[in-house]
Amino acid sequence: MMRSLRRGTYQPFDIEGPITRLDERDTAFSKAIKGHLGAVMKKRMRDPVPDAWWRTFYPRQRRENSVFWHLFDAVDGPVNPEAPELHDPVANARHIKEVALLFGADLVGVSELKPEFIYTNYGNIFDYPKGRLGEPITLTHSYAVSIAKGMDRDKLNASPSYIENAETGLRYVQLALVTTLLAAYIRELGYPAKAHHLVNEEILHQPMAIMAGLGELGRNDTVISERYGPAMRLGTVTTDLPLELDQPVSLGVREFCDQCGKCADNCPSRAISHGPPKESRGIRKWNLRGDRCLNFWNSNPQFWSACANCLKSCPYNKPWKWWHRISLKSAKHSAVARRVLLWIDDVVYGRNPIYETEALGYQYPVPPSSKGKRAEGSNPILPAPTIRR
Amino acid sequence: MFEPGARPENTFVRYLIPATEGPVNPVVTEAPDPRANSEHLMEVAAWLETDQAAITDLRSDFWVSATAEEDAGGLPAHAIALLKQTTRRRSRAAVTSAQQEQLARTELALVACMLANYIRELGFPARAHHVGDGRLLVAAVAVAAGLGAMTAPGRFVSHRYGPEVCLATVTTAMPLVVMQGSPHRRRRRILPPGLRARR
Repeated sequence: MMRSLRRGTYQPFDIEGPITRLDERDTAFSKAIKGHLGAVMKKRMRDPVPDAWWRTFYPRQRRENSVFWHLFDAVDGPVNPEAPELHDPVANARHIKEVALLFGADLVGVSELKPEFIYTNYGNIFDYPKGRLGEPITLTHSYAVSIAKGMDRDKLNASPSYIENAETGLRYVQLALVTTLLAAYIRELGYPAKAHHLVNEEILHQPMAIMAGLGELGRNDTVISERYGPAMRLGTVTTDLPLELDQPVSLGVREFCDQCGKCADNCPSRAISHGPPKESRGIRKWNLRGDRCLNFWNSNPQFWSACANCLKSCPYNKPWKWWHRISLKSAKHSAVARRVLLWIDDVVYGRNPIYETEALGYQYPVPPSSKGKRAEGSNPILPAPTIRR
Repeated sequence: MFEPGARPENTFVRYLIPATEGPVNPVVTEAPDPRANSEHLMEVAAWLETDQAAITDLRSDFWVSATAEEDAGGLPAHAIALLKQTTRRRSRAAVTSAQQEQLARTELALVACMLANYIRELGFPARAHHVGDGRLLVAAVAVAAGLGAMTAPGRFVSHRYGPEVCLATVTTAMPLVVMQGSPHRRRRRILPPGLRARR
């Protein structure tokens, strides 16, 4: 029997049983580094990557060249003992959201921190070199402030390529800045707070963001928001500061994804299911095969080290124009409109959209003549003349 | 939160001080054309959300002391001046101009560190100079790069944005040319495949 996680007019999750907590060591990244996904994957996860931006954001050899490495320890700190008591959750929530926007957030929402969405043990890629791999996580905060950062669609649409990979890395760094600043601000207000971002996290960001009303879960296992669609990245701040909770929202994403399946068609590793949602750890949802996804990420390091084809091809990934806003409202309420909009999306953008982009020294799509030529030490700034048209 | 006080662990810039320097990738990227390199770094600076960037030759009088110059080892040949407005309001939060300036400085410090990291990963020495690290006169670099001028009270004023700006610098030995003005702001209009086919 289905039940809601929380009271409200909309049920964001179909709960089918007790939700089991996830061990971060069981995520695809952690398993790949440990070698549980094969020796080839383990080697590729440790080998140097040709792209300098990738090496800057996700270091494998020279960690000192990554700001993530230096921001790892900034997520927590001492709490100001001399602080005014803030008892009004409504005013607190309004203020915290305004401050988060000031710090650079694009979307902010507040939800209750559910224990089932906290990892049991550390297993992030930086937990290995920092020496806390496998340590149990004890997080007792009451609230979660979910923060989203929108991406540049031109660069996102160049997936799979190092253009999109760099864009993703930049947004995660910006999220690290926003969450770290916001957590420090709340601590200076006199309440415990901890930032959770890409390389130092203790919680699952997606369920928190969905419960905070930032968006809805799509078939491609990402949160789809009204304003940014799937073109956004998430970070979270957990705290004990009393905050008014936001409500989950219904955008009609579940109904649209039921009919669409464009992300599954465009997934090169077939990691996204075409079928109906299935039960996973107590929740009925579309499952993403993380191991297959990661396999494609590491399949051709000369040209990419990650993929966002499912975000690129998603019909919700459109500019915030009047026609898109009308489409969103129509898709939310009408099954006929959803079918018509999907047909229009296929006609205008194509079932397998490819957007030509040139940025950061790369060209997408890569011309056939240049395939196999790039390697570490080759020039990403001035590609070989055969690459330029 | 912005200035180290009783609880320096809550100060963001504190974590960026060790991020100014780092090891250089031993595999050097072939980048023989200084002009192309400079244009690329200008594009990168715009992508990293600076409002203006410019490149100038690094002079001895930019360093705050001879010791600071000696520490640099004489390697850097160029300085990339980065500029960001401090008064861009993004929310209704009541903040003072001083707080906005500190926030913008923090953001720019992060950008400078990322740019220096990127250049080092290309295989060239680079160092970030930001609010948390005072070895270089960043205002003098910005003036030499043509981004603004110094007023009589000693405050930097941008030609484009006025006095409410903050500055940071990246010094590097990468082959570059002097390049003034704003970074590339051009955005290619990308048409969806369906519309492109009809043209």
